[in-house]
Amino acid sequence: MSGEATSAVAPSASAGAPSAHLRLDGVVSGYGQIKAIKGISLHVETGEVVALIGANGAGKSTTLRTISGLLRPSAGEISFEGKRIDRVAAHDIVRMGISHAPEGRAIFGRLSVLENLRLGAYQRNARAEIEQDLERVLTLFPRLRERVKQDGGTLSGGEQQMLAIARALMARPRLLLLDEPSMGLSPVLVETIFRTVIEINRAGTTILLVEQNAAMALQVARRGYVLESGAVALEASAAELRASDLVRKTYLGEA
Amino acid sequence: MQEWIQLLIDGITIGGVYAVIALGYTLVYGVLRMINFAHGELFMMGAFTGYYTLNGFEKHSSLNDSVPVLTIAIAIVLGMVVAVTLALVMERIAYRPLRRAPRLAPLISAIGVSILLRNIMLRATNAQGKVYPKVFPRTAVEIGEIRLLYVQIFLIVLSFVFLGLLYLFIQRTKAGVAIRAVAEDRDTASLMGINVDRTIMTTFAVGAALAGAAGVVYGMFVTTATSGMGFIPGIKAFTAAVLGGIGSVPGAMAGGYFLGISEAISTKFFGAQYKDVVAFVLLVAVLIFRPWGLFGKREDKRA
Ligand SMILES: Nc1ncnc2c1ncn2[C@@H]1O[C@H](COP(=O)(O)OP(=O)(O)OP(=O)(O)O)[C@@H](O)[C@H]1O
Ligand SMILES: [Mg+2]
Repeated sequence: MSGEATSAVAPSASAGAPSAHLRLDGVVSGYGQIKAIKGISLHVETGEVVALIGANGAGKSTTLRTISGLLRPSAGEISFEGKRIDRVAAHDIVRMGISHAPEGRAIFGRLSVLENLRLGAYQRNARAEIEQDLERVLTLFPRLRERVKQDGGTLSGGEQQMLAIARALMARPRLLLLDEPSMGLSPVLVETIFRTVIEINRAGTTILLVEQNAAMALQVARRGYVLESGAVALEASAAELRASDLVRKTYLGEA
Repeated sequence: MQEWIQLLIDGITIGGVYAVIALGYTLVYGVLRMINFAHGELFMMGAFTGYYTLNGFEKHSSLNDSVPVLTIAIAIVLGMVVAVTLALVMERIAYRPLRRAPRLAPLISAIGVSILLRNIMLRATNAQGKVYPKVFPRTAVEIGEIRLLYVQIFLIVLSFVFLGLLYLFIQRTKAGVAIRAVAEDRDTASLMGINVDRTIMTTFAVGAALAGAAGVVYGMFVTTATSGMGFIPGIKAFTAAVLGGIGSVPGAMAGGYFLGISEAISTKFFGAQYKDVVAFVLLVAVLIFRPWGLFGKREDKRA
């Protein structure tokens, strides 16, 4: 957690650390016969923001979908807070403390904004706490407060993204999986979203952040992984990644 | 004028039955994109349960005469219980294993279940219709030339009550929101912590409860339960669901009444023997010209 942001994080030393908040070990997963990720190992420590970057089709979303239980890995292990979760159903993984804001927002378009938000807290029972969290996310995203009665489908893209993040927070996760929160948003909105991501992390939520916007992601994250064709090509601190040739050429568009 | 009012009342009577059954089709279609062709048989099983219950009371007690409200209520509840139980068993055995199969497979499985249930009852009853005991006086309220059987009033009111309760359930309860969420996006629903399998079971159960109750009340209305009685009302209710836009709850309700009233009015012009034809002409016309339903909007994000 402390100021080691510039030192390299050797995979061999850290991947097996028993203290890891989230740990993937040789995870293979995909769709039917298609193996979209081919033996991914990574870890996220408590309190971190970790970026997962890579080109289209690299397997970033598949990785998140496998962590949150939408896909079942065909090999490898996933553990969260010391417990194996790779055989746990998606709806139980939420209960364990992992919340996933999927790619493309996945708002329930025919449900109201408020119904969407309350669904985020579906597995929770403490009413007072839920109301409190509702207040908290509506303060975090004031735009949503004005639109609580509207159908989710009537929101703009940016508003839907805010709703997706807010809804994920309603589960009170200890680990938040964010899949391309900046996709399709104006630069100003991207700023807003990333500022909020930092705020959420400061409030105590660990974050695994998938992004195409590598520049932005590496500003927010402490460490990162570069995924290529379903495998980890590079793992390092954010500063090192920003400086590396691979990332500069391929993902930051520098010569 | 009075003739028209009579037609309207008759239309609302049968339309309420269609609407209540149609909800089962539309709810299950919503979460599974599947037409449960055995749904009409749940209605039929409800009608038989109603018959056996009321007949039991008739044979062994005088409760049907002293407290008909109680015996009818018990018959309805038992009809619901039997239908729900059957629906859960059929979901588990005949549909869930086919969740990932091509779309035609569960459809064929549903037709199989339908034939099975019908034939079980055919055998169990030796192909004899079962005549309900007279719990309701077969008398009518008459206002001028308008005739309204007591059982008919009961049916109309009960349909409204069930539709209202279902609407509140879907709109206001946590389970109702879960059903709507699963209907819209199953994966994302599970990311919310919704148990999709259990929600699908709830959906079957709710649809079956409505069909079972409708079966009992309809049985009292037509006074006879037969193994084949689920077929025509089933297809009519399916038609109603399609008219309203399959998957839409208000659509199924409106579609039921629309179809019931259309049928009733058509009897005035073409005679009663053509009313089934009218229903199916409507079905075909809607499927050709407005497959998203009479009341729905064209853009369909459900596919
Ligand atoms: N539902 C699916 N069925 C079959 N193959 C899929 C499916 N979803 C993704 N894939 C394939 O799996 C691979 C990884 O996809 P994934 O969505 O994980 O990539 P990604 O890194 O998230 O890409 P992007 O940046 O475009 O979102 C791709 O080759 C993709 O075509
Ligand atoms: Mg992706």
